[in-house]
Amino acid sequence: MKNLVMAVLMLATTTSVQDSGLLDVLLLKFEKKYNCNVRVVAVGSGAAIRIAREGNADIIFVHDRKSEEKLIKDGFGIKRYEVMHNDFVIAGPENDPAGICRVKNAEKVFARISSTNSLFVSRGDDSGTHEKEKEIWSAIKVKPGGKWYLESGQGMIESLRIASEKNAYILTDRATYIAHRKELNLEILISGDKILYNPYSLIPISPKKYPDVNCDLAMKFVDYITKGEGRNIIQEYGIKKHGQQLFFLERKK
Amino acid sequence: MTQIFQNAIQLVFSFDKEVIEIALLSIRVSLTAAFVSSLVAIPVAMVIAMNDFPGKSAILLFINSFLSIPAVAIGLILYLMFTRQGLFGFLRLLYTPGAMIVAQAILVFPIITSLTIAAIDGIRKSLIDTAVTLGANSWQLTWTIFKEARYPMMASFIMGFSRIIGETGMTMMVGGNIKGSTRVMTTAIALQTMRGEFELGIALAIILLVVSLILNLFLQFLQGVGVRR
Amino acid sequence: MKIFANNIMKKYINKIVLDKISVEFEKGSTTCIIGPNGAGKTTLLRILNMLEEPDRGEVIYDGGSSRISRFALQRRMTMVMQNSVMFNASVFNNIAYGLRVRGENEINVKVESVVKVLELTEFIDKSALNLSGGEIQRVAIARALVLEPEVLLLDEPTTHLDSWSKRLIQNAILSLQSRCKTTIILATYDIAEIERFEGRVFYLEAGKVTEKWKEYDFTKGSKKKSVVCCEYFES
Repeated sequence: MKNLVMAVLMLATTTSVQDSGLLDVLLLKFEKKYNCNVRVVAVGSGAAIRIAREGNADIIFVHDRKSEEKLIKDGFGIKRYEVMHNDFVIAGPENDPAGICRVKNAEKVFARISSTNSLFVSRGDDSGTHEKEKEIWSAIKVKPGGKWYLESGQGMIESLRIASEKNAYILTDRATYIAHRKELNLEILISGDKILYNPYSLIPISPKKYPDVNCDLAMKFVDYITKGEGRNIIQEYGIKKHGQQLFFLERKK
Repeated sequence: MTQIFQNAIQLVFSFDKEVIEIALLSIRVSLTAAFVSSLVAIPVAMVIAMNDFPGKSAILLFINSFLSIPAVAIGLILYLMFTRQGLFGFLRLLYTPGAMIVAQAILVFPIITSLTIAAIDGIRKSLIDTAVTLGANSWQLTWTIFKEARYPMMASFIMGFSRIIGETGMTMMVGGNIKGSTRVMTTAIALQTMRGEFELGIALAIILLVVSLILNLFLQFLQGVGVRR
Repeated sequence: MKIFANNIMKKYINKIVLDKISVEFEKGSTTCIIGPNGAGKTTLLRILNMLEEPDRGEVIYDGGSSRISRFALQRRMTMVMQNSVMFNASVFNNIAYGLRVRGENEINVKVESVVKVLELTEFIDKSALNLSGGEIQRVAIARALVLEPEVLLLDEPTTHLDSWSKRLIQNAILSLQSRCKTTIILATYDIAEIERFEGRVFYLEAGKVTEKWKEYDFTKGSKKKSVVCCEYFES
């Protein structure tokens, strides 16, 4: 007689993974295959990493390289498994009032937005997207603030909605944007810049720090994503519904 | 854990700029909403309370049933109306303090109306007769009743205000919790805690509790004064 | 003003409170209505005052030359009720109320003069809600007297009061009447009070005016009463 209580995997991830819809599809098959229940907490990458440090998750799925590496270094995470990547894009109103379309470089775009005081929506929540945004601001040595800089403190889709309502510019991951494009009043204006590259990693939490973590199930999830069916799901996600692939697999090293 | 609490208290007592900004916005939004709502609710309540007309009990039933509308339902309806494609999208109210004020004003309207009706019903008929026999015309009578019921009416305003300053979901839906423009105490507490930033959340919760407490004490005082007749 | 209550009938649920009452009140006259509780005294006064409407019959004012509105009536006729209600304000503001709604000036002078008569000077700035029963009635009387109305209706104004307060109030009312020729209609069951107010007396019992008191000897004591009689009407 198997255990009546199903095994549980606590997964902390970012809102962009959740909002794109990819996670739902991945988990559906995984839960069925291993007869378990995956409990997902979708917050910003920063919060997910904090949850990992406090041992309140078995595995995290985030996109904030610097914090990830520190997590490993401090011994909380076992290893960084680079799973997939997509890119960030800068979206904004169709009529592009600040004229950023002519500028191809992401840093110059940000400079132009801030110098024209054009409305810009920031995640403001220490998420991976927010970290990337901060990276670009610090590259041009601008501290954004003022009436034009709107910090939503919320997830990607909420922030996109705010940008859409207010005709503002926003840095977003391509996947979430594509998944919700129909309800938004925004267009992709800038993409392709190297700095906008956005890799996602899986990090199982170390049982050395927190012996209670469900390491077994966490590693099964890692295999499922990096070697098993998860790979196909990621590769094909978005093609049918949105006409394009939203996430790209990392080449096997 | 205790360090977090200490930091939070430090935020409160050092008048941290962000904390003060959020608290003041909460008070400003809810006060405006309660005030604007009262401008309509009080006259409506007075008309209903002071007159007998066919359908009066139906109207009273209607108002009382609105008391139990879940705030998020109001939030959803307003969201759909204020979004770009919505009926009132042209007002560009979504994600502005204006939308929060509208939502809270709607939420508090049945509260202020029904409590004011009760306040006026509490005015003894003999008092109305007294004013009439002393020669008051309709306007003077209305003003006299207004003054006589001032304590319970103030109480109804405060009760309404307390209700809306503590409201979270609906305010978040139409406000968007944008830092510096629509981030109020309740939405900030909800979100900061979710993201693990406990200090700000706790600091704001302390302020919210203190505001609640002060309002409640004032309410007790007003109700006590009203009873001392 | 002359008042003619014509064939007034009033019913509450199943009980007939006033049964075909027809009474005339001449301008400047004094009338005392006596009778047990529940006899309909208060109801009759309220109907005269247009606070209530009779089920049948009508009250005709000023000979009925023109219809008078309730509001206009209230500016000429004032009533002091049995257990008077005070406004949540100072004694001064309570007394000044009627003057203020009429937009009269010299309010201070008028209020202070009536305050003196009713010996309320020490209370003038106190909250009217904190007064004793007797003090409240005196304020209620003051409130009415200061208006110098054409008609003054009083519903048991001195019941439960001590004799000193009673005297003060009765003096003030009589003084008003001699000054202004006010018509007074007073409901009471205090015999001594009736003796002070010279005028007609009629007895109201179970909604009907009767002659039960016809034989009562009002000429007690040294004071010789002027015409005091019971009037009754066919019911």
